[in-house]
Amino acid sequence: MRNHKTLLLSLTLNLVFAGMLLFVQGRGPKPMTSVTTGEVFAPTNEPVIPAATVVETAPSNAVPTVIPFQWAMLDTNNARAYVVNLREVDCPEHVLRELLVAKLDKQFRPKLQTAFVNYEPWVGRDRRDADRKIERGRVAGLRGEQAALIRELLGYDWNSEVSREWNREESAGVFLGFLSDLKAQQVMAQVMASVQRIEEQFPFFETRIVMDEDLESFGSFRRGISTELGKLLTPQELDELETRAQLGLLFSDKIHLEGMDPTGAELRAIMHASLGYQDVLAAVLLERFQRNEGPDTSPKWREFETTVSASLGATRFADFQRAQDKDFREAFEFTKRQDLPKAVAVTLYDAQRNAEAQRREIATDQTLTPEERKIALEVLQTATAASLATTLGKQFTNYFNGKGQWIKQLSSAANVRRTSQEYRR
Amino acid sequence: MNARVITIFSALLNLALVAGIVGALRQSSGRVTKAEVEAFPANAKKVKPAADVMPSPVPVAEPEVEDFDWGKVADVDFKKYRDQLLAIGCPENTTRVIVMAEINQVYSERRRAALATMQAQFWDLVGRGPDKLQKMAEEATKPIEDERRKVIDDVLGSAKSDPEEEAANKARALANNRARYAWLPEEKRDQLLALDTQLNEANAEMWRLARENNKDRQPTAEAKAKQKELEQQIKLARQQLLTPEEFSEFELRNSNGANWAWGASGFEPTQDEWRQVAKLQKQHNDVLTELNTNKPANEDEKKARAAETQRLNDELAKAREAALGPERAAEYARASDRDYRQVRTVLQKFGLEDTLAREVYELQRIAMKQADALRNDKSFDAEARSAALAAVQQETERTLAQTMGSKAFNTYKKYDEGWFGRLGRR
Repeated sequence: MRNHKTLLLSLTLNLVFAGMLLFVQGRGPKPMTSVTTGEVFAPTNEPVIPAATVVETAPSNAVPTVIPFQWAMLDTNNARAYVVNLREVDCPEHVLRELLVAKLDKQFRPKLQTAFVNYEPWVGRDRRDADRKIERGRVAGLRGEQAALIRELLGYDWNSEVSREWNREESAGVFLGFLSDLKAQQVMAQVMASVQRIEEQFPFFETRIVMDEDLESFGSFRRGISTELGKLLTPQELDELETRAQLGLLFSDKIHLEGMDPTGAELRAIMHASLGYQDVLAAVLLERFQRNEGPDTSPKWREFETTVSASLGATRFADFQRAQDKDFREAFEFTKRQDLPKAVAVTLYDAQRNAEAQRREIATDQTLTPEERKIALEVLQTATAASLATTLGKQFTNYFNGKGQWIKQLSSAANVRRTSQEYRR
Repeated sequence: MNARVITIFSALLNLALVAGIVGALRQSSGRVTKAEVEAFPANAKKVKPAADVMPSPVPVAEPEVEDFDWGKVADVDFKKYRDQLLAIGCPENTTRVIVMAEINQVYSERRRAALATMQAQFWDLVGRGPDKLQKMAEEATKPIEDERRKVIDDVLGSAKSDPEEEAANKARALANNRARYAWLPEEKRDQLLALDTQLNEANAEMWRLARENNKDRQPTAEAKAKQKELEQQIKLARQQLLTPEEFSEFELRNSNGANWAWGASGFEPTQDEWRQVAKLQKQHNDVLTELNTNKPANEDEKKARAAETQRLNDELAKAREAALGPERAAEYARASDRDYRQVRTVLQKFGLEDTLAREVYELQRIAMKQADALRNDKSFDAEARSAALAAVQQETERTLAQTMGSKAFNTYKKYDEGWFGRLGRR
């Protein structure tokens, strides 16, 4: 009877333990996810760490062994889990973001590699271009996916280039030095991500041709960038950043300050006013391929000039206006190269303007006969050249044969051809 | 007897089941293998081992994972920091990322301090010239940057490539190279690649030695001759490996004549057209190379050579026309013209057909001819010529705007790379 009871108990335990074993195995870890399955990057609500339904263990007399901590215990190819694990062990943020980016770079790198396409040599440009376009789209999609994941996990944009550039380029430190290091780098990362998105969303980088529709959608995209930056920066910081960024216009042929020597306050006022005239990103990214059609006479430019004039006052505004004139810039470039004072550039420019005005007057003077007009133009040319020869001395020949070609044009209708030596005599 | 045996068997089964449960629980604790960790990363600080599932029916002393936080590895001494990371099994590349981030953090703060005074005068300094500002910043930060680099070298050495990645790159390069010879029988591809590798490695070595040993970083005449000799040997080996037809195809595909149609917009040769013109182009290039082996000795020789080059170019154009036929040759000429490419790109952007691009291109040719005729007409004086050219330009603009539509035309005008600007010029 007792044996039967024991047997019954033992059989019951068999069932209980078998059930427990099945239960425990059923909730055990899933097999390791392969990086290439894409599951790693898919959004998941699954907790990274198993829910800690902690139940007290039965007391034990045995001394538990302590397993030394190993990096592998927090390392994982699951980006979300990796970030959670790193935060749990108090990994500093500046290290964490580099670790995350390095991990994702490694995971994405093989996928970002462009597969080699072996074209037969007779395959034409159109088919190659079409394939390239598809490939660019694929790569852009992946880059976007990577950037979005980083943004989601860190709460801001980041990439491997940010700290590299930040640490290597001292100009970044100067340009963004009014911000904290973190904010500065976040701004860099955000701008980099935005430029990447522009390249992906706007096809003009491929054809280098911008339609009016492109300009409109770019404008709206650009406003979005400012809005995003506004979430990161105070209004004052954003204003300073946007104003400093406008300095890029000085390299884009849109605004010139040659020979003006602006003070810091003047320069800032000009750049701040330029915000309403021309966005620097649009100038650098969109309009650089366009043919330069001479001075801007648009209402926006005039509005810009009015603001600048109000900030600078009449005298300094005249200097600003002079800098926008190609003729002055050429004269200035000449004097700079010859190591002559700026005042000489101003003299050359004024002489040119006066001579041109007189030439126009003579050319349209109906009281003159053709012969008289010819003589008057020759006199004008000789007088102008003689005056500039006195101003420039030995440098006159260089000027006359280079930037001073306009002197020869003064009497072109009269077909006067003289050498610079003749004028210097 | 049966009950006794069954009882013993059942008891043994119970023991086995208990062992199984313990094993399963250990596995689910996530601290044993890297694979387990990757699926369910352990949290060294918070997750209690094993016991988090259910009470163990038997008291088992579960191993505990050492409590860990970043402070246990972090150190102001970067070498110590590095070693402590390596000691917990942190891979070298990861250690590098961590220590580099810490070094950068420290030096970034020092750089900020060095640039602080410049920051206060930012606008004044830029006003004096961005290049001056750049120079000042460089001077202020150079010692810090030099030190940062030195510390990186000292603590981390140079970056090591990831062997897995390197292997993958090699495999990819091999696959790409093999694909280049897809037109050859399988068994010959690798042999041909081995010859290529031999030649490329010798070339790379020649340049390496030149960079290291020669002042001008150029290979010596002797080294070049040696490389030339190797090229001949490899060529011979290719000839022996391939049939005459295969060898001739190899030479053609690898010649600079092979790309003759690549730049043409909207023109794709047939295989036969490609082969015929590629052969002509290759012969032409070979003759030109021969012609230009030495620099012309004097002006007369220079002129004679230019004339001979022109004659050869004309000859090639005629031969190409004969090979393609006049219609296809004209298509090719148009497709290779920068002006046509530009107008086609703009019109494609507006979703317009190639027929329209061809129409615009023809209008452009006509306008250019008219303008050229006016420029060469001696009966015009300067003013009359300018007026006539302006009229041609105006009329062309009107016709183009009508043909393309004003939106496309305005965009086209903005991006025209040459002819439109030249049209009205004297």
